[in-house]
Amino acid sequence: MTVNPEEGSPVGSINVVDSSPLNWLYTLFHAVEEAVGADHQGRIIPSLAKKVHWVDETTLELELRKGVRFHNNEPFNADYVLRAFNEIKPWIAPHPPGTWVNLPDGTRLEKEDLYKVRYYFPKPEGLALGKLRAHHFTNMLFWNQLGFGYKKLGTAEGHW
Amino acid sequence: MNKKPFSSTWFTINEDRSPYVVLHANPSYWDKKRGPKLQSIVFRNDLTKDEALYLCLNTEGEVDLVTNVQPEHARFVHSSPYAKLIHIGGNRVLAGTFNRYQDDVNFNDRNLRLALNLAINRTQIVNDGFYGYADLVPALTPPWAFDFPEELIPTGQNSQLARQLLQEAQWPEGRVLRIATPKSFENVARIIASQMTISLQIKVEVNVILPEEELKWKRVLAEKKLIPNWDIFLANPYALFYEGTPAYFHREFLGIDGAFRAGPTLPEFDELFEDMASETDQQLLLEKAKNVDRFVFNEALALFLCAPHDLYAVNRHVKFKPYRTTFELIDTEVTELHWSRNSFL
Repeated sequence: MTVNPEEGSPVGSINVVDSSPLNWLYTLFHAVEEAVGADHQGRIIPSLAKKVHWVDETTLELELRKGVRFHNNEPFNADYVLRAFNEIKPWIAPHPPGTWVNLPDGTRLEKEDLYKVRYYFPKPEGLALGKLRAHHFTNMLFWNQLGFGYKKLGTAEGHW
Repeated sequence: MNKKPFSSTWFTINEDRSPYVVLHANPSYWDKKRGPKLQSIVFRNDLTKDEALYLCLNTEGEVDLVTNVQPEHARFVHSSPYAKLIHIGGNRVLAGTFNRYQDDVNFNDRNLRLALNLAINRTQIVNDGFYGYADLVPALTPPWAFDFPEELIPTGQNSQLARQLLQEAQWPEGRVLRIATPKSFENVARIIASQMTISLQIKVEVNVILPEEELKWKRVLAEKKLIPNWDIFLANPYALFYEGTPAYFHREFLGIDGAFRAGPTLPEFDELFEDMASETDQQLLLEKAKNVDRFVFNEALALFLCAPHDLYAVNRHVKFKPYRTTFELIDTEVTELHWSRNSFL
């Protein structure tokens, strides 16, 4: 028999076969979020940052979304952005698309309060929003147990 | 030569995938308007593309969605009682990078690059190479990008002018033009070769790179330590966004750290690109991105081809709205008739 789901709750399941060489990325985008995302047309839209704005030519401020919880109930806040920023630092080429997605050497991230952070770039960084799509915010459990390639390969190079 | 290592793309050719990857909905997800609308999504990696398409077109409950349907298979999807075809201009552009390192022919000469662009019939390439499932692109920015220069028109075929420019570029008598292509674009490369043979009255050879050799060829191109033996290489980089499009396409074909740049750096291009990349006003950035595409078009800096569509076979009871620059299923849902909601199946 068919059961009417509660209004708005997830229902059903689908089986997908995705042969794309970017399947690793698409799977990641379903499991992890970033400051910004893409809409259907490819426009940059706010995601875990509900608002982004340039304070000046080299300072980007993210106002983080409140009330967001990871699947294990950890509450998302600025500490998670800082953790991701510090986790990516040791790697030369963490992103599969290449180092052009890296934030420039000398970039600093400072926590303004629990829901506000500022990136300080060494020079005007117009592509920062696009690059932030490759900077994933995960829960602490992920960093402590798995990490991007840490557990399986012992390196995050090419695995962010 | 680029002395900074790792600045180019990591090429994923083969993957070690689990047979199944199961994603479960997070019931407390913050964006309820958007989703998730499904309880679970199963990525099946235990099927070949052909097996997956067969099951999607002929059964219920095995495969609900297949990505990367080949254009030649679209008609099978259309005739399936179980599935529908959904297609959209996607996140890739197809173009040919010119080997400006060659010393016996001069691809740094705009006349030669323009001659080759005038020698092909793009409409025929879209119709015969992609069964119509591609869009013409004047240069490298597709028409659906937010930084597309609207005044640009795809170059039309003009064989007479192409031959004249080829002569002015001093193409050596009897010199064979060599096109290298991954196996996936063999058909397109052969159409291009046939058109150029007729238009330019020169011999054109196609070198098809087998999947197991693709990584080696792409590394040679990306690392720029060896001079490749081809004149034109067909490549299709991908974009994560259509704002600042040159960061994804133009940079990869022509930029300082471009994986597909085959020739010396181009100071004028680099200057325009840097002007865009350092712009923090989003509207101005889009305008400057248009300038990059205009420059590339005017200089005929690549063999401009088209933007292929992404084709999906989707079960008739699945409501799927594709994204241009990603493959996301957060807002995908199923009707009450779908097998997963009906215990009789």
